[in-house]
Amino acid sequence: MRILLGNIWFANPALGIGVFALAVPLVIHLLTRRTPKNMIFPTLRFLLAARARQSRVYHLRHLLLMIARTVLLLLILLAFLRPSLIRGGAKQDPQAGRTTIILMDVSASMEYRYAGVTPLAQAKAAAMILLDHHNKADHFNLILMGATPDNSFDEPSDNLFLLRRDIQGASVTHEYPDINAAIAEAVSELRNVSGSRHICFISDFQRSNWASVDFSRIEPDTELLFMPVGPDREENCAITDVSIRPGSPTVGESIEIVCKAANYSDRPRRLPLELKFQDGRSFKQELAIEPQSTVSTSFHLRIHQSGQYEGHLTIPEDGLNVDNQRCFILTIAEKINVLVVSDEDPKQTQSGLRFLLNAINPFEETRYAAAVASVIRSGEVTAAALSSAQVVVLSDIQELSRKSGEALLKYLKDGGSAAYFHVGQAGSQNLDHLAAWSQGDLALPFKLTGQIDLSERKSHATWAQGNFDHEILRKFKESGELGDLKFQRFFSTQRVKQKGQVLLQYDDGNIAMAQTTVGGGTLLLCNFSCSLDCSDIARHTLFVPLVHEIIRGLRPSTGRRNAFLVGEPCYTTIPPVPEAAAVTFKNPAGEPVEGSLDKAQGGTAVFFARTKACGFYRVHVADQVAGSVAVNVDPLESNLERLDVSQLKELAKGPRTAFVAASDAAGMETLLEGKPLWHYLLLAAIGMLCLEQLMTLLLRS
Amino acid sequence: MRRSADIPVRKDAHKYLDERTLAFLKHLSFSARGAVDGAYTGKHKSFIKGHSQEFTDYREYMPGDDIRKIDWKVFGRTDRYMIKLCEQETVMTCYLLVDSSASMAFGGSWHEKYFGNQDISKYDYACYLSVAISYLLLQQGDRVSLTLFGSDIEQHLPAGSTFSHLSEILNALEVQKVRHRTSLCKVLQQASPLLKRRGILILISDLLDDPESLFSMLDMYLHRNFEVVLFHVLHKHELELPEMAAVNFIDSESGERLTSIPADIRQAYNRELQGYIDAIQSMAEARKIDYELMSTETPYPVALQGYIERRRRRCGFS
Repeated sequence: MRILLGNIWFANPALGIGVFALAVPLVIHLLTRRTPKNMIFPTLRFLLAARARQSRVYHLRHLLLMIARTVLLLLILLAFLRPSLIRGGAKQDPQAGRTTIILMDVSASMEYRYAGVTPLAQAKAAAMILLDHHNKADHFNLILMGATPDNSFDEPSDNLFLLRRDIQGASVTHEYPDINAAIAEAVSELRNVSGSRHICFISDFQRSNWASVDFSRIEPDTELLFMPVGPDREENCAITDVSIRPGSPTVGESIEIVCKAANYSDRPRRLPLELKFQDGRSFKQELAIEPQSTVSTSFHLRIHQSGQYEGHLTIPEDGLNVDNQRCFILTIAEKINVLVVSDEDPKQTQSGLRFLLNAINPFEETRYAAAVASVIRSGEVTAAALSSAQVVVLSDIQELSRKSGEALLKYLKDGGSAAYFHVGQAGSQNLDHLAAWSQGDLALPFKLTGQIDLSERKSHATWAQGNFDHEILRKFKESGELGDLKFQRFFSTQRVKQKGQVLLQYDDGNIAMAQTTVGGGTLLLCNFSCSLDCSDIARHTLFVPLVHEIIRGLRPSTGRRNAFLVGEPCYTTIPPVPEAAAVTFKNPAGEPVEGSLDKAQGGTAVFFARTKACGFYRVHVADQVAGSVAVNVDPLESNLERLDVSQLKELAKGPRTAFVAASDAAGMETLLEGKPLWHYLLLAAIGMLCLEQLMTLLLRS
Repeated sequence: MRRSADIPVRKDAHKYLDERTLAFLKHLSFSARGAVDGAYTGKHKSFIKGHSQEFTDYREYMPGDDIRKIDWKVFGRTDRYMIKLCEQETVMTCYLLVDSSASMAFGGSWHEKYFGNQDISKYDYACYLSVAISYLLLQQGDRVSLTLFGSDIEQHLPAGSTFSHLSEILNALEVQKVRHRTSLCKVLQQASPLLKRRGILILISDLLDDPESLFSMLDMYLHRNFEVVLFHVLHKHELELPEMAAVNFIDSESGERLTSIPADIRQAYNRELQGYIDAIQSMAEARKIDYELMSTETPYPVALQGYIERRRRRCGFS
């Protein structure tokens, strides 16, 4: 049993009975105090004078000696009580106990193996030590910091058995940890608890993960304990990125698989890099990487059969294996898939959609076509519907719902491309909404200030200026036919400086075509419509090549769009699935996982709600792999550079922070059990004994 | 005319008269250091030139001189009437001033009470000393006067030279009660008209008074050509604090109290007391006053003999 007095624990309170020993000097003092005898003494004047010359200390020496001896005994007694100064300056209520939330990092970097030990193993041991130093009234909870915080209990509990089991069972998730979410969870759990509140961070404190953590939401009276784990110096090499050029290659097209590798160590490395496909074909290269730098290399190949190919890039194993390989899906399409989103009826003769579809595929059969189009309505725009499209064309659509708009923006941010032929009020509103929903990612190159309808005046506008250096217009530079096109209805525009790129302008100065970027994708804004009501562009012989140049120009140059990270939901499209077919979803280990199907036009979208491991998540239809998604670890996990204590202090900014390395057993003991004071007390007792002896000697002399 | 002890003193009948001590002192003599004033012929130099064997000087005869004093041999050689001057020898008067204030009672019965053995008080010591000196002086035919005082003169015996006078002295000393506070200056002032003839003033006291005032009063007697002797009597426990536990010291005269452990204060006390003694001694030396510190631990005959011998050496007697 221990008792708490202020901030001091007494490990042996039973010895407090020795407090009676403190009375011994007093009793001796009283017992040896002699009753003075009266003595008539003539020379008292000299006694008085002598007494007056003596110091007050001399007169009080017996009292001082008694105090010194009492203090000596008190110090010895306190030393035997084994006091420890516990951390923190706040008042602690021993009845309420402490509530500690253990935030354990389970990101991929915690798997780094050094001398046979991983930081995760150290973290588990540290967490167990924390639990071992509990008191009766203490409560704990464990939050594993993954992509989403994973609590052991809904609220702090004293069930240490289950907590220990959860700690032992914790495993690395390879997910990029959302530390802010974990902190928010811990703060909410601590909000209503009484007693002292503690949050213990056990992590390798990787700079890439922790540099942007916001500690400000933690209550000021909450004590923070940082327990760094892992070796001080870590060396790691990793494949950090794979991209495919072009993004969605077609059959027979030259493909460049670009691999980026990093050397996060202080010595140059030469690494053999191997590209391997599921059918056994492999390609090898050797990389020479300078210290603390990255290098890119490419594999060039050409595939003559359409389909999905699962590819692996690997480098030799090192301390952290998860980033020594990177998987990707190489989808070889027969044609360029164009998704046309339009609310028009293609059967109408004036319909722009009709002309657009004919322009994309002018042939009756798809065999000869360079691109094939599938059409959905604006209300059907979803992530799944967009996932298989290489280029999205929006033409004469109604007002987009927020869900559709956000799916489109996500598609663009992930590297997709879209061309928007807008005219009419809905077009104006859609652009405004998209700009608003993108939260700054979409910067429109112009503002729509009003609609212009020249048809009433039997007039028209033409394109007067063009940026023929742009890929889309390059081929029309010499022809001069672009100026022959007549446009009756379009928007008047006002240029927004330094935003986007203007490709074409009307003769009245309004912008006819402009391009802007949204994240990794491109949005081409066409201030006209293909409908015959608005222009004669669809009738012109220039229309078909212009549409094809737009598709080619917008097609993503790299295939980074469908790169998924562990912890995120992932999706892909597979060919239409028969109704009766058995569909199973499997993780990279071949174990069934949750997934969902969304039948869309032209294919079926497959969703994996959450990914937990690197590799290929596959969907099986009638025991055949119908499609797969490559999931990789976040490249930020590969850089194992860590924040040091001073940087963490700067980040935490709170006065009530403590740092102790999990490998420092003595430091842990001191921090958790408090700083033992008995030896200081013993030292003080020895000092007091010396003082007492000195006083005795001095007074006797 | 020399008067011997026509009335013998009964030596065993008096407390302060010890036969063995008197026998010890029998061969000592107490002489005046300088000239004294006396009515009768004695052993001591007188201020008056007279008839004696001790030639001092010549002077011219002047009308009125006794012609019997003319030195005719000188007249024969020089044809001048020269008078031969010789020293007059006379008796000495010794004034004993004995302190009988309360502080002089220290020792004696009190010592027996605390330490279980007989001891002599300062007053007793002073009395023994007074009697011994009186005996010495009376034996050599000198006159002795006794004054007992506390805060005032309590008893005064005029000078006498007979052994019956010694008996009076003994009686006076024995009946005297020690009491009152010491007031040396006042007493010396009061005694001044009582001490008419020039002689030796022997003050036997513990001298617990202001030394400056004391010596300013003694200066008055020195001015009157008195020889002053100070016998500073202190008890051995005054000179060295007794080995006792806590003691509640009470001043014998003022009643003031101080509780202390003698061991704690001994060193400082010794310094204070020694400082006081040194001050008195230096003041006495400055005035050529004989100063003798006497501890009651030292037997008074020994102390007295020691003093007389030192005195003789100082005076150049062989």
